[in-house]
Amino acid sequence: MRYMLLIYENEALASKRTEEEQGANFQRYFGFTQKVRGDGVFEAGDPLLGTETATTVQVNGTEVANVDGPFAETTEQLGGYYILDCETLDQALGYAAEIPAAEHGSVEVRPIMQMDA
Amino acid sequence: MADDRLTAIVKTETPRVRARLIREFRDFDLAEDSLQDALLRAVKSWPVDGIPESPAAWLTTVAKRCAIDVLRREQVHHRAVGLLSAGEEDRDELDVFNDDLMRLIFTCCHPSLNLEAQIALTLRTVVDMSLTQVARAFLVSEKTMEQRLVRAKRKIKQAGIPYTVPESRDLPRRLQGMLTVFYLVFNEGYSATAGDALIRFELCQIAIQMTRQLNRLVRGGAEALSLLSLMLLQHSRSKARVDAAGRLVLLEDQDRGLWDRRAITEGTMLLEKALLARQPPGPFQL
Repeated sequence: MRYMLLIYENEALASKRTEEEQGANFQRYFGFTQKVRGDGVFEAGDPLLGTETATTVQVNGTEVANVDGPFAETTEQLGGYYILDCETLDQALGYAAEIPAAEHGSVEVRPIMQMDA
Repeated sequence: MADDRLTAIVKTETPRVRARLIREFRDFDLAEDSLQDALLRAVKSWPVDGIPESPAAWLTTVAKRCAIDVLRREQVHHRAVGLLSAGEEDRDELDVFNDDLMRLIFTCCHPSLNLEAQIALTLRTVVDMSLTQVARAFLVSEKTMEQRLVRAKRKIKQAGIPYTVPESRDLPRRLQGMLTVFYLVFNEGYSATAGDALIRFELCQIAIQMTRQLNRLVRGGAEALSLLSLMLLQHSRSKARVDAAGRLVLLEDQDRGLWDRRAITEGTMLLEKALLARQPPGPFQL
């Protein structure tokens, strides 16, 4: 079963990291990605650029509205994701707990809907 | 054959067989439907042919055949074939059934379900309470309770909540959650907020039974021992707590002759054992 692990953290706090802290954080993500690849569950995963780069699109009838910023203003922002192919929810939850952001932010685990081709 | 015996067997075997079927089918509803079919057949054939040597294995085999019929009718052949082959290595040792029951309890008490759903699902599937009884225990309508259960079962299926005993790494955390559910079941029975006194008494016994079973699984877990001890000590007074008219009797006025000495002895002994485990005390030990 495929799961999407959505990584949320407080951008404002994350941007205050020193270069050294930033490097260490990156190393941990690199290590995690290596691990899930090694375990054969990795399908995809990327960090996202900050919400200051986000544009939200809504179509109202024929009118297209492009608005600066993320869909919702929240204390934690979506900052990256992984797609993992796991046997069970417990396995996915186990990986989620190893994502560095789980320690100061949150990781939401969502099963991906199966589409019968 | 005495009807009482038949009823007693059905009562003890139903949760075990249900657990086994849910594990094999990975489908609560198919398991439930085929279980009901099998029970119906048992009630018809056992009084005539006698009770089989292993009622649980008999019920499982019949239920599987019923499920295969249903799947065939729905033309889901590949699944039917899978079930058939699973049936061939049928083992009927009590251990297998008890393991399945344990797995099912862990599934029902999964932290991804909200606490109310965990308790309701445990009462309905593990304890085998009727929808009416579970609804009454939560003071909600049957319709509300049914929807709650449907949502929980759907999440188990869709989110891939497994039918397994968690890995040892996760076990302590999962146990604590499970003990909380058991304690709430016990309290529901003990504090008698509403409903039938008999159901209430049974809830306490069920909670004790489940905690006992858990204790066997995790030998020496101080928290599980403490909870069992707490339940036994409280439950030991249950016959003296209510007078003939159904009114509560305060501790100092209780007839101590009605206290269950064996439960008190066992409860005290368990608590001592929990204290000897020298683990940091958890909430139930306190």
